[in-house]
Amino acid sequence: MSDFLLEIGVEELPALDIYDIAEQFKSGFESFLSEKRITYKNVKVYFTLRRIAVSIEGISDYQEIWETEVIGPPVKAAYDQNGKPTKALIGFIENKGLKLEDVSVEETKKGAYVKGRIKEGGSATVELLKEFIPGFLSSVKLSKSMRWNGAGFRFLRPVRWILALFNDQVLDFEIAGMRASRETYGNRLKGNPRIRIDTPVEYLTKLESHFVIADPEKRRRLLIEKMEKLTAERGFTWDNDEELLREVVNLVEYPGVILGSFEEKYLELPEAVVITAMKQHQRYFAVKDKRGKLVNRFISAINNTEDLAGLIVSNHEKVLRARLEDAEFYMREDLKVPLEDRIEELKKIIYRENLGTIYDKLQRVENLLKELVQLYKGKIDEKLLFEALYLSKVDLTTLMIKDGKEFTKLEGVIGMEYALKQGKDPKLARIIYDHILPRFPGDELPQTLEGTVISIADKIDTLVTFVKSGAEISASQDPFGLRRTLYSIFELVKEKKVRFDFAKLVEKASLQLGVPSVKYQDFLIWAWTRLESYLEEKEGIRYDIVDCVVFANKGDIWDVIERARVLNRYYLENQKEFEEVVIGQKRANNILSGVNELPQVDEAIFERDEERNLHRILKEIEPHVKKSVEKEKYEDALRMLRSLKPYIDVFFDNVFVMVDDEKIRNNRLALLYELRDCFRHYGDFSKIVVSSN
Amino acid sequence: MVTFQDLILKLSRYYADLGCVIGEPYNSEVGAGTFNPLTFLRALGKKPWKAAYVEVTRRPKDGRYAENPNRVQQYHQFQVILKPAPENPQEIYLNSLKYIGIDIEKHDVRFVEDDWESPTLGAWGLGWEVWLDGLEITQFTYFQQVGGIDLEVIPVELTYGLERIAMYIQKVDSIFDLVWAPGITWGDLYKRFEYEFSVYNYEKSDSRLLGELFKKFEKDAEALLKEKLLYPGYDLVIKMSHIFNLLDARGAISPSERQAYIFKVRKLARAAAQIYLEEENE
Repeated sequence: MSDFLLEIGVEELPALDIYDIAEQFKSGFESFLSEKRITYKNVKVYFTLRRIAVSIEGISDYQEIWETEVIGPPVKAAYDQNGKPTKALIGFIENKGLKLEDVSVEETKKGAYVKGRIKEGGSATVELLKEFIPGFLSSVKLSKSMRWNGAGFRFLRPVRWILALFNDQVLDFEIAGMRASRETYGNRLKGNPRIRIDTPVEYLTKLESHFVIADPEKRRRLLIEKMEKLTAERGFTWDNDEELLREVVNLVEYPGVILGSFEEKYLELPEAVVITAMKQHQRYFAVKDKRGKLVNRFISAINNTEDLAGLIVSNHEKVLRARLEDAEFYMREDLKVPLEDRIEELKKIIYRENLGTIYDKLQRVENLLKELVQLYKGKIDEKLLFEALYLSKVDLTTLMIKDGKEFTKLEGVIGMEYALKQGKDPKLARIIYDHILPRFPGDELPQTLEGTVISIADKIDTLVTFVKSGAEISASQDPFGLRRTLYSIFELVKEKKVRFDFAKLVEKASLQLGVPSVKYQDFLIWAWTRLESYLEEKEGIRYDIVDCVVFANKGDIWDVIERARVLNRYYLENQKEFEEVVIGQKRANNILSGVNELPQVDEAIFERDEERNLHRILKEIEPHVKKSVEKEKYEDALRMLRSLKPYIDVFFDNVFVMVDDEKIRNNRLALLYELRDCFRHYGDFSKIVVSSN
Repeated sequence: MVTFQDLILKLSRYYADLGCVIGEPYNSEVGAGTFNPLTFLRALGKKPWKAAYVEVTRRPKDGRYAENPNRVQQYHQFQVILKPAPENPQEIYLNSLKYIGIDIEKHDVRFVEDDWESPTLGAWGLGWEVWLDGLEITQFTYFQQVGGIDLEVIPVELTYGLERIAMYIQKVDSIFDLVWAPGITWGDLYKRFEYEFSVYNYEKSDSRLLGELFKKFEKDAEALLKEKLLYPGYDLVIKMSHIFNLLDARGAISPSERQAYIFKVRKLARAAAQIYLEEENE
């Protein structure tokens, strides 16, 4: 039993990429070990932005030994008439490293063959590792890669050293023009000392004594402890932003922490602006008081132990002050212009090439909204809605957003904040913000109905502009964020129960943009299939169940969602029976495929009771199914469809449809047609995938 | 007191001792030291090259009428190009900070991911911005492509923001208060210059004239490069790039035109790079 350690020393890696690379190191070594049948106790990965290490404890010195059977030439070809081995047999034996007495004969279907057993494995782990590591390192998948010297090796940043130890022995191999050694380096700011590692066991502790915490979990824990202590002493808390924390853990090798402050006057800036100034570029954590209100402090991790001279804090404060000063300047200038005076400027901002200005877009959205507000008479404040619509994008003309740096991503927020500062109706301000929500999966949702419908109309227009400019829609790639935009619409519909005719609105949006019918029809088909994936992802509803109900959609996304929910529940409760119903529909569908014109069902032509009964019950039930679906009583509709099952079963068991007599055959086909139509009020059940069949 | 000119002298001394050619700024307006042929052209091909020089850098859009203590439309970079990249460029860099008087052990120095790209030069590379206590003071890049050409030998480029570093060393809060030489501040030299060029960049530049110049220089550059007159041709490419920046500051370029302008400059920069490379390989 031994210990192995590999450390790849690099120049600073991008903080967030490290997680994925470390994961690849872990799984890469684990699969190597299992493939080579080398036993071990555990594989651990350590990393900072300057190193990625794999430590394998309790690794065996040799791989296992196992036997495999090898089949050689047929017996006929293996021995000559005198029973002497032929060239073929000798070649086989030599090739496999066997002896003549090791081989035996195996009777197979194809005749008798010579076979032998060979031993495999047993190689020294050290040798296998030496072979494995260079190839593995060049196979690591990276978001970007670079060259830095003539060795031709590519990595995310230059590799500067390789430490590889098997117990106390250095593994002798070379990568990117460097030989592995037993040396690593300590914290850059503490003299970047060269450190000799004698055995893998002392790796973490030796590094720690040189201000490098290589274990990311420990580094994270320490960072949190320090931030907690520093803020708690003053009665504050730090804003636990997981996304930021993940990054900051990998920005330093040793988590020093400083608490800085800024002038209180900057707290008059919108909170989102202050937080963005701290977080976006500087990677500072915001600090809050006991009531969760932002205070004029910030926390930064520093790549050093302590700030004895207090220099570091005051320098960080200076940098933040310059950013806040920029923001304050922007806001002061911006507020001099009333928001409504900015509308005119929207006529000068091109939305996208050949798609007019932002103002043109707002006009298109207005047309769509006129359609939508019809559905919400009395529930929507129309005057406020249209006022807010034209103010919703004026923040694009503000210095704060035009800055092009960190504040640019506050689109919508700035519109809302400025509206409030200029004394506008708080609801109007909120609508301005609501109109961009949700910006990404899991984002906040609008609070106002007005904001919700503007968001939907705006997003539909955006989607159709992409249809117009011919953006490729594919399952795997989403370069223009089309899928994300569409999912946002689904999210709004689902969570806010917004009901409208999606197909009709897309049509209207397409007409005013001059998008030809074939193009937007294709888009609609794509959109409905996206709804299948969306509901599978979000609600765990099977895609084929959505596919079934999309068939009978009336353009109303919420209705499709609800119908799919009910059907999915029903399916989970009665799986076996449900599948039989589906099989019946599939049979009907198969028989009817290619059949075009059919007469009305003529009761006089029926020969058998099973036909007559099915027809009678359909006549009785079909209107009720139709009505229930119309009234959106989906449970009822399903119950009634279910009650048809015995009639359908006996029909298929006893009646042969495709008889020679054309009259009888067509009459039976017409009956099946009626049956299928009855189900199709709800959806096309033949679309559902049945596992057993 | 380390004056602004001391800072330049010290960095020059440091890199001269490392074997660098100490060059001079290019005598036409550039947006970055990378435009200087000492970097842009010499980064190409296999020949080793080490140079360091001050670049007087124009960013018309950053002008603030001399009112903002941190932003100006002309500032100074100290540009270093080491080709091939040595094995310890970070160490060389950190030692240069010590050399100019920054005790890095008492500070928070970090190499923060920042991949550099110059769309007009068709150049990109991977690297960092270097932070000194949260302030970006240097851009550090391993070039991978220049003029749209994959580099045979990888150089490393270090671009020091001299004003930022000087403000830090002299502990002043405004660029204009920097001591350039004993008794002379940065503001003495450039305050009026900053104000007047802000007026020019934002209010007075003649967009029509600039637009025409851009077109004429483009045509001329094309013709010169076709005749393999590399330096005059490339000189006009540099001028086109500055005109583009002026038009941009004036708000005379719509987002859709923007790409077209950048493309035109890049195409010619690429042609210049190819001529240089062909001749170097001969």
